[in-house]
Amino acid sequence: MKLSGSKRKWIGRLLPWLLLCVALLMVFSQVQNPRSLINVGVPWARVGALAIVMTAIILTGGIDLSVASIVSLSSMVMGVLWRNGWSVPSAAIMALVTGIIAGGFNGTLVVVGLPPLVATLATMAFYSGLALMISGAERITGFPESGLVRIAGLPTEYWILAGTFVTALFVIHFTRFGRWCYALGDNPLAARFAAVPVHRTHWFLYAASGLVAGLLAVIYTMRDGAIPNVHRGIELNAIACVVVGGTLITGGRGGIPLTMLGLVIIANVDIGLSFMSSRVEFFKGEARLVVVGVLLIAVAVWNEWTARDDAKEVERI
Amino acid sequence: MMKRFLCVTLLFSCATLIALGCGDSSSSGRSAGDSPGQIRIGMMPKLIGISFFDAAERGAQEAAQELQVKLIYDGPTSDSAEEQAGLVNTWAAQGFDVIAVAPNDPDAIASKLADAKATGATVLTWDTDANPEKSGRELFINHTPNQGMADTLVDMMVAGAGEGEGGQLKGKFIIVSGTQTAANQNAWMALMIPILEQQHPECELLPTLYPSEDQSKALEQTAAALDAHKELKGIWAITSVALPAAAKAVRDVGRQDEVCVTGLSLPSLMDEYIKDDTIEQFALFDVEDLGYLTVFVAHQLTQGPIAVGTHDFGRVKGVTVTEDGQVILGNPVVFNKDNIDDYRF
Repeated sequence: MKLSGSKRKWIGRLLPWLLLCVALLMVFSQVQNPRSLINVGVPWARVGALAIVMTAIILTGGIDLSVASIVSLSSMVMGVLWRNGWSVPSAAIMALVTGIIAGGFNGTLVVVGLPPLVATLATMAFYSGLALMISGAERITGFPESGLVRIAGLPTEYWILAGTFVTALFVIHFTRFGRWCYALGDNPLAARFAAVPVHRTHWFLYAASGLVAGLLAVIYTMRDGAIPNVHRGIELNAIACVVVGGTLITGGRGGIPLTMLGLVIIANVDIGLSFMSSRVEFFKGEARLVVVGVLLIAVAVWNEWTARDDAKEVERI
Repeated sequence: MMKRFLCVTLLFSCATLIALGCGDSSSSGRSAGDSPGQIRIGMMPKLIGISFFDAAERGAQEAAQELQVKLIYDGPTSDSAEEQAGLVNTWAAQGFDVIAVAPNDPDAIASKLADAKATGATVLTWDTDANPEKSGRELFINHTPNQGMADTLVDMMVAGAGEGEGGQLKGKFIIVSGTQTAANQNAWMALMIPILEQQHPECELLPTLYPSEDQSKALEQTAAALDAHKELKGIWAITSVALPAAAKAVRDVGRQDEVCVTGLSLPSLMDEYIKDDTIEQFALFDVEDLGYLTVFVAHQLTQGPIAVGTHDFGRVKGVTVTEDGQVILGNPVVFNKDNIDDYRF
């Protein structure tokens, strides 16, 4: 079957929304305590904040696999300092600084010329090991209750997500820095010749990723304590959101709103499926993984398909 | 063009999402399909797909049938604290009557259990406890007193590797645990160490291995330890995954006679190693009974509080309920060649 270009394009735009509607329906048909939905979304708000920075990194053709380990490391730094008598705010600031340093170190490795995948794969192990080491693999709990874990009735993670989204939207889509990111991902050599400050751009993005990871760590630690490696695997969820949204994993094409779309789809499908699992025996843990996997493949194929259309259009022009 | 389109639709959908999320409690309420009034119990293992928690599920389902309650037995596919937290949240949103969790991390789950409690659910822990104050859990369904477990572990090693009169442990020994933060394993180790220091002064404990709940990692790390310490005398593998891995590692290098392996695991996983004499004995509690007991206690709690003392719950007799809110199944069962065939988990 051959569809005309414009029709295909329309279907291409509509499919994600259809998916979203189905997922939302699954969720809302099951809810009895609507207020708890706010809690249900918190882990995904966390994933989302990381995914947004990840989008910017992936746009440049990079990737940051170490975010979960940075969250862990920052969290443990905060815990250890607090245990040693620092006040919570000063320990929190040090956690943020740790995030920036860890992210900045990733940036430095990339600038030096290591492929981002290799560099952050290495630091992923390094930081999570460091987190275990400084705490002696112990958890540190009992932080005094803090008003910062909820702002205006919403868990702070949502505000972090909103803040990152607005900032990234502005920086990536409305500034010169954003255009540098696209240029780097599209053709790094050409970007270099076009006088894009390659090193500075890379370094800044990885440091920003570390900062967001640090910020999430601070909030998590205030609420639940410093627990090593509790966020293991969150980086893969973040990358999934970026890719499902439609940002090209090789960089150069995509954007921040797309990642929000990806986040909303993945989060809702995942939440929807866990809601389903209590009604339909079939949707237990392992089946959920299969469904999410199939969905990812489908979306990846779909994105490829629509991207090809866009490319053709560009050729015509 | 495309970007603008996306932005507009995105904003629109966010608005709908928020609208849906905030108000409209009229759409809530028990959805069709559940028989009205049936009690819904959500029971969460640390992870699904390993035989330990499959056995617990069998016992739990048995109790659910007996008591005519709806049991939802579901959990993460890896030993992730965050995935558990997410699932607890969704269960709370669905208004489950009882939520019973075997937490991967006692602190990470605590605030979520407290949230669930605030929605009106009865919150239990089983197999492993969560932070009792912070989580506000009603009861903790425990399998064995920790001291009993630690004693059994040391006794089994003395039986296998003890030297001279009174069975002194001499030389190098090592513990293979799960994750660094696993509460049960840490509690047992904390109690084993003083016993070893006081009664077996010549026992040198090497740094503990932490291969997570991962069989291939456990195999790899034990093999490395065997290679590094040619004079190793004994291995305690204290998770259900680590013991078969440790037994295999020892058998692979043919040092069954020099290294005594013992620990905690499931009879079904250890069958071949017991039968080919790689290991002599190991211990555990009756996992099926633990699952059964959890659902039974959960159901009982929806009818009214449970007093401190000794109770019978269905087919499980003589269960102790302590003052600090623990329900204790009983002492560990030691498995060996003679009795291993009697257990089907």
